[in-house]
Order: sequence, then C-alpha cells, then structure tokens
Amino acid sequence: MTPMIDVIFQLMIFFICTASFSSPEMILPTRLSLPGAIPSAVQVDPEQADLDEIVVELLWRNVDGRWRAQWQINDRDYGRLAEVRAVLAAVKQVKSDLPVILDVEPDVPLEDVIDLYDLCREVGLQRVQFAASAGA
Amino acid sequence: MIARPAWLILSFLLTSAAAAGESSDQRFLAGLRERGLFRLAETYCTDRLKRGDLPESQRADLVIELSRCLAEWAVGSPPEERGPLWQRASQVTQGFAGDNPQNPRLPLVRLQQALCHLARGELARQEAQLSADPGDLLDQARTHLRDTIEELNALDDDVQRRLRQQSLPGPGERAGLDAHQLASLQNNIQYELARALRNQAECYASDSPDRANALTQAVKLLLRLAALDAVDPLSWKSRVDLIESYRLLADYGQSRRQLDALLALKPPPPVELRARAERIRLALATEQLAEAISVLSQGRQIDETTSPELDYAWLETYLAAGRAAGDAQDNAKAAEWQAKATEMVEQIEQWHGPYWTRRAGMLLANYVRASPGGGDLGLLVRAAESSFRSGQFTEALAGYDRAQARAAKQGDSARAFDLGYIAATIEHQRGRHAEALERYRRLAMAMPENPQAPEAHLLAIYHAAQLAKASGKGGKGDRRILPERPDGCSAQNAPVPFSALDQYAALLQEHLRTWPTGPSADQAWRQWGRLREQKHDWQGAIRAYQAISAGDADYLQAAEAVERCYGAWLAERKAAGQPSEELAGKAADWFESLVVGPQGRLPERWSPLQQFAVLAAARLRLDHTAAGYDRTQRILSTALQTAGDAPPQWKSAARVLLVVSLAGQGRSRESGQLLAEISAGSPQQLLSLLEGLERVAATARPEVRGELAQLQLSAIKLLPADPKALSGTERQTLQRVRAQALADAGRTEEALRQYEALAAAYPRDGAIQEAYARLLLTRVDRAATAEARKKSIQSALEKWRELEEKSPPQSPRWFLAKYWVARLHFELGNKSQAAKIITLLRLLHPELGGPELKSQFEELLRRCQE
Repeated sequence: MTPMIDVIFQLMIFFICTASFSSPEMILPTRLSLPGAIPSAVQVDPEQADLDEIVVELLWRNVDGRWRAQWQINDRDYGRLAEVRAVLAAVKQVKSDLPVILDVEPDVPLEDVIDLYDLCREVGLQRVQFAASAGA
Repeated sequence: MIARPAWLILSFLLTSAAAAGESSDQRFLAGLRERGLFRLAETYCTDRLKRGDLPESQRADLVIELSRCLAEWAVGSPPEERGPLWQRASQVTQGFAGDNPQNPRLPLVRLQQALCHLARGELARQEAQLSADPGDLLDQARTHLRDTIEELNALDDDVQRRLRQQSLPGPGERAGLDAHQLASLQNNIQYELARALRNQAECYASDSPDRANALTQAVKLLLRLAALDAVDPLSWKSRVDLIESYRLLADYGQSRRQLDALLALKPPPPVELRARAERIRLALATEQLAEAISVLSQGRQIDETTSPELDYAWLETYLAAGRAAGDAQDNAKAAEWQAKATEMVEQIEQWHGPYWTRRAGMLLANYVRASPGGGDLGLLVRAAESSFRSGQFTEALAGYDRAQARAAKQGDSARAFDLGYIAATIEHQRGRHAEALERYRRLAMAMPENPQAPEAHLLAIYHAAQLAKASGKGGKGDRRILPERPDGCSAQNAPVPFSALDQYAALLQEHLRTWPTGPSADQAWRQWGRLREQKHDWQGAIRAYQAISAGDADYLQAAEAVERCYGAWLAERKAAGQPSEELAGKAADWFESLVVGPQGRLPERWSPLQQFAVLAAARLRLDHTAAGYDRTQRILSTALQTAGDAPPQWKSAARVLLVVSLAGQGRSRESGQLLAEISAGSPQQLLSLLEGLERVAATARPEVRGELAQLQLSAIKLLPADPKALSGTERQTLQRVRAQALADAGRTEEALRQYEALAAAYPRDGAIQEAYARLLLTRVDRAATAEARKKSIQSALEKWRELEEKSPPQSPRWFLAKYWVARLHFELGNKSQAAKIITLLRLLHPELGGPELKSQFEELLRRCQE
C-alpha cells in the first residue's frame, strides 16, 4: 500500500503545481493582438486616428557574449529598460489610453516580458496588448 | 591531288559500267570529294534524290555516292565531328534498302553500307594502334569489323543465290545486274571481306589464335582473287594484300616470295609503289633497318605518281632509324632522322590530305611518347599538333607542355610562350574555364614582357568571368585563387572562401597593376567599371570608365557609362536626401572637358563623342544644379551653330535642352520662340523637355513658374494626339506634367480634376498622391467662405492622412504627411490634437524628418502652444 500512497502523493503535488502556474497567465488583464483580428467595423477614436500606435519590440540578443533583452520602440533601439520607461512615461503624458503593443521574440525569458508589461502599467498606460503572429 | 583512303571507294567493277565509264554525276561528285567539298557534294546528291522522276538505277547510284561522300567526310574530320557523319552515311543506305527492297541494284547499296562499317572499324583500329590508351578504340574497331564481316558474308550468300538463279535478262530488267556483274560484285565482296578479316586480326595480339584465324581466312580469300586475270584491278590489289597478310602472319618467307613475284610482273605504278611500301615494312618487321633504308633510295614516285602508303612507310623507316640511333646514343644521327621524319609529315600533309596527315601525326606522337628524350623541338610540336588533330587533347596538352619546356630550356622564350598559348587555347576551345584560366594566367605572369602576355591575361580574365557566371551571383568557387586578393591576403591563408567573382576582380586588378597602359588595360578598366557598376559602387565605376584612354575604339560607350553611373549615383543621393549639386557640377565639368579638349576651346567640327558629351553635361547641369543655366545655354547655342553636320536627333535633343536652359534663366519668351521651332522632335524628347521645364519650375519664382507652365502647355500641344505613340509610363508622365502645369498656370480646378483622375488611376504612386494633396492645400487658400475653407481643409486632411498611411514609416514623404496632418488640424482649430501629434512624433523620432521639416514642426508646435 505504501507505494500507492507515494504515487497519489506525487500526483497531487503535480496537479497543485501546474494549477498554480496557469493562474497568473489567466489573470493578465490583456489581450492578444493578431494581424487582421480586429474587425473592420470597429470604431476608431478620431482623436487617436492621427497618433502613432506604440510598438515595443522585446528582443533577445547576444551583446558582448552575453544574451540579454533589448528593446525597440517604433523601430528605435533602446539598450536599457530605464530609457524605455522614460519614453513610455512621456507617451503617457501625451495620451494615456494610446494602444501599446508588446511584440516579444520567442526566446525572451518570461521574466523580461513581465517586467516590460509591469513597466507599461506602472507608467500609467491603459491599453497594453501583446502581438502574436497570425498562426499563433 | 589529295589522296583519299582507297578502301572507301566502292571499287567493284561491273563489266558494263566499266565499259561505259563513270556517269557525269559520278565524275562531278568524285571531283567535289577530291577537293574536300563534301557539303556541296552532299547537297547535290540530296537535291537530285528529291526528284520523283529519277530512274531506279540512278537513285541507287546516288545513294551510294551520298554515303561515300559522308563516309569520306567523316574519315577526314576530327574525332568529335565524326559521329553524326558516320550515322548519316549508314542511314542513307539503310533507308534506301528499307524503302526499295526490290531494287535490282540493292546489292551494290548494301555493299556500300558494309564498306561504311568497314571504314569505321579500320579507322578505329589504326588509331588504337597509335593511341596511348587504345582500350575503347579497340572495342569500337572489333564491333564495327564484326558487323562488317556479318554483312559481307550475308551479301556474299545473297549474290551467290542470285548467280544461281540468274537467267537471261528480259526486256524490263535492264537496270538489274547480269551474271558477269554479279560475279564481279562477288569478287569485290570477298576482297573487302579479306580486308575486314585482316583488320580484325590486327585488333588482337600477335600471338593470339584469333589473329591467326582471321588472317588465315583472309589469305584463303586473297589467294583466289590474286589468281584473277591481270586486267582485273582486283588481281593487283589482292596480290599486295596477300603479301601484307603473310607479313602479319609472320610468314616472312612467303611474303617475300609473293613480293618478288609481283614485282617481276611489272605491275602498274600505283601497285608498284604499294609493293615498295610493303618491302619496307617487311624489312622493318624482320628488323633489317638497313634494307628498309636502302629501299628509300628507289624514290617516292614512279611517273609522277605518289603513294600515301609509301610515304607513310618512309616515315616509319625514319622513325625506326631515329629510334635505333637514339638507342645507340648517337644523338646527332637521331636528330637527323627526326628532322627527316618531321619533314616527311609535312610532305604527307601537303600531298595526301587530312586522313593521312592525321595518321602520320599520330605515328609521330607515338614515337615521341615512347622515346625517353622525346625528340627535338620541331618533332615535339608536330607530335602535339597531331595529338590535337586526333582529338587526343590530354596527350596534346602534355605534348605542348613538353615542347614549351624544351623551348624554354633552349632559351627561346618567344617560342615557349607561343606553345604555352596554344595549350591554353586548346582548353579555351574546349570550354574548360578553370584550366584555361590557369594556363593563360600562368603563362602571362611568367613572361609579362611578351607582347601577347596582356592578351593571354585578358583571356584568363574572360574565363574567370565565365566561372563567376556559372557559380551564380559570386557563389563560392571551387577553384583555388590564383592571384592575390584585392585586400592582399593570399588564397591559401584566406579566412573565408574566395568566390569566383572575387577571383575575377582580383585578376582585373592584377592586370591593371602589371600592364597599366595599352589597349588591354582599357579593356580591363572597362570590365572593372562594369563590375563596380553592378555593385552600385558608382564612384569606383566612374573612376574605371574615366581611366579608359581617349584613343580607345569604344570610348564613346565608356563616356555613356560614365553618364549612366553619375545618373544612378545622383538619384541615389537625392533619394537619401543628400546634396547632389556639387557632384553633378563635377560630372558636368568632366563631360565639358571632353568637348573643349586640353586646349579649352570648343571644337570646329564635332565628333560623336563631343556631341554626346555636350548633351550629357547639359543634362547634368539642368537636372541637378540650380545654377549653370547660362553656361549650358551658351555651350548648347554654340554647339547648335557649329555642328551643322550633326544628326537631326542630336540637334533636336540639343534644342530641347536649350529651351530648358533659357527657361531656367527666366527667358521665357526666347524659350517659347525656340519651342515653337521644335516640332520635329520625337515624343520622348518632348517629354524630356516637359520634365526639364518641370524641374526648373519646381525652384522658380511663382511668376516665372506661371510662364513656364504656359510653355509646358504649349509643348504638350506638340505631342501626338494618338495615345499609342507613348508608352504607359510616358502617358503617366505626360498626365502628371499637364496637371502640374495647369496648377502652376493658376487653372486650379482643371488641375484638381486632372489630379483626381490621376490619383484614382495610380493609387500607389506616392509622387502623384503628394502632388494632389499639395494642390488640395491651394484650394484652402482660395476658399471664399469659412464653410468652404473648412470643407477644403477636411478634404486635404483626408488626402494627407491617406498619404501618411500608404508611405513607408519614417520616409521623407511620411514625415511630410505627418506635418500636414498636424498643420491641417491646427488650421481646423484643433490645436491640442496638432500638438499631441507633434509631441508624440518628436518623442518617437526626434530627428523629425530632417532639419528643414523639424524647424517647421517646432514652429507649428510653438503656435499650437500659444
């Protein structure tokens, strides 16, 4: 009987662990932005129409022999997260509900993604979305 | 007269035919063949055979003639050209036999077919005996000879059957063969069969039972034929062949007895000459060199008749004597015999045509190959030539290499270069680019002072170009790099593989370093220019083209290339927002220097180069510089006055440029007058004029712009009404220029209608969309009421917004569209939105599209914040 108890115990630990991992993903208050996924009938805010949407690309690059996160905002490179914060804070001053799309490379560790997401929220940007490929 | 290989001639003599002699067709065709005019002979035969009314007998004779022609042609051709000729020679007779199974002269056609195979087998056997690698040739020879023997045996049976069935010919059977003719034909078949067997025997080793068997059969056949009456030509030929067969059987006693008996009968000169050749061979076969040499004293001719067989035997004797002297270490004597051998090869070439020349050459090459010293230079060269003519290219190359080394050793560097050049050219002709490249380059760099060295090096470059082409866009070549890389690294220690294109470039640089001047350098500069041009290295390309000397035959093309490169370079700079005026001025100066020359004077007579250069200079100044209109106008006016004999197209192009140069100076009336004179210009030239005026208008003052617009509208009227006279792009240009001219002339509504249509027709053309959007702005300024103004602003805003969406982000047009979107929001009173647009844009792209636009953005932002 002892081995059976051990097996059940192991299974319980497994289910508890997996259940605890999935919950934070589910509660992220964001949506995936897929190309062509937005219906054409969606009304665009006239004030927002002439303002650029902000695309933050999170890249995973080998810099001086070390793999680390790099950022691009609308194709402009930034090497430090603090610089990204400064730009996004300034963007928020222009319009806080401007859509910010996070485009993350597949190799980027999850913690860097969370850091960026948290940063967007911290500076007060209200509409943060994740980009995904059409096949996702 | 050139001797033909006797065995190709269908030599059977039909009694009646002999009595009547050859037909005029046969005599004519024999004459053509003797002169080597095989193509003509073939055409004659095929044309005659197309005639439907040709009698059966003549048709058969013509088929035989055609097959003979093709077979002789094949025998005299280099190995690589023979295949199709042999094939056609056989197809002709096979086709006839298939289509005319009842033709009474069919046996003659079938004999010709067998003779074709025999000739092919015999040739392969002869070449195999003299080849370094005889395996394949011997196999071919055995196959063809086996087929021949089968065919001849079958034909012999058929003729035998016909002879048995022979009756007196009826009235309708005149074209058929009678008993006499059939008997003669049978003798000929057996004679050829003996020959085929003799050849077959020679395909086997001297101690082989196959060889003995074949020769014994041949002897048996020849014994009967040799016994024929002396009036029969077969009788003499058979006796000589019998002597040869006994010799090949190593029955030298019998061979000698037969030979003596023949000579005692006082044969005709050709037979006696052949017998003399046999005497030499018999002596050589029994290692009696002195006797062979003594036969030479009897001479090569009888009654001015020569024999290729005898001359060939002489050559064999010379080479045997040379070999013997070499073995005896008597080098002087050996050289003497070798010189005689070389001379004999030349005699054979002169007298006996390509077949015998090739055989003699192969014999010589065989001697050189087998001799440790290889012989003197002349002999080595001859041997190499012969190997090449026989299609043995590897041996030929080795031969030329040996000869080159010998010449270099003797201090004859010019000859050594020539021989190396020939070897490289063999690879060149074979299309073996890597090998040819290596040979040409090695030769040129080894003897750079040789007058032909630059040419050899250029050929190496040509092959490098072919390799680069074959390896795609500079793909990695599999060859080792020969010259130094442009960066100075050698190939062996290069960190990255050297592409074929790099190799080509390195060779060009090597050429220019080694031979910096002269026609070859011009050629290298031209190729270097093209290479740089392909790489869009405009500066490098221009420098290369300009380095070509003015005396070069294609200098005009070089000047055209310079203009092309400047044009592309200027367009590139313009697109990148870089200044181009100084560069265009420098380019125009260079073209003007071609016009005025070193003396700095305009020419009295204009060469095509000067005519081109003056137009190129004018185009560069007018298209790319704001100033220089007066200078261009003066030069063009002088050119038009003095170049009276210039082609009308040039005059027309010059006048068009003159109109633009006058208009650019604000001399609209004069340019209008000149424009009125231009009616003969091509639509393309007029379009070019319109574009030129458009460029002038773009930077002109508003009042001048209006006048220029009138000029443009006048020029448009000179264009043909038929839209088909212009291409699609030209029509678009015309519509765009017309719309802009209407706008500049103040006819805004007409211009807007034109632009609206254009914008709808070309929705992806940024220039058109931008021009339309700009024109919409003018409507805002002209609006009479506040409502109309608001409507105009909104309509312009829509257009600029669309332009922004369709333009690539961060492009000059995208920034401009951003500015106007912000500006039009401001005009609508929506200052906050305008400020947000600019602030956000400045945040994301601080450069704001360049200094000019940035200051406009900042000024607008300031006004928004007031």
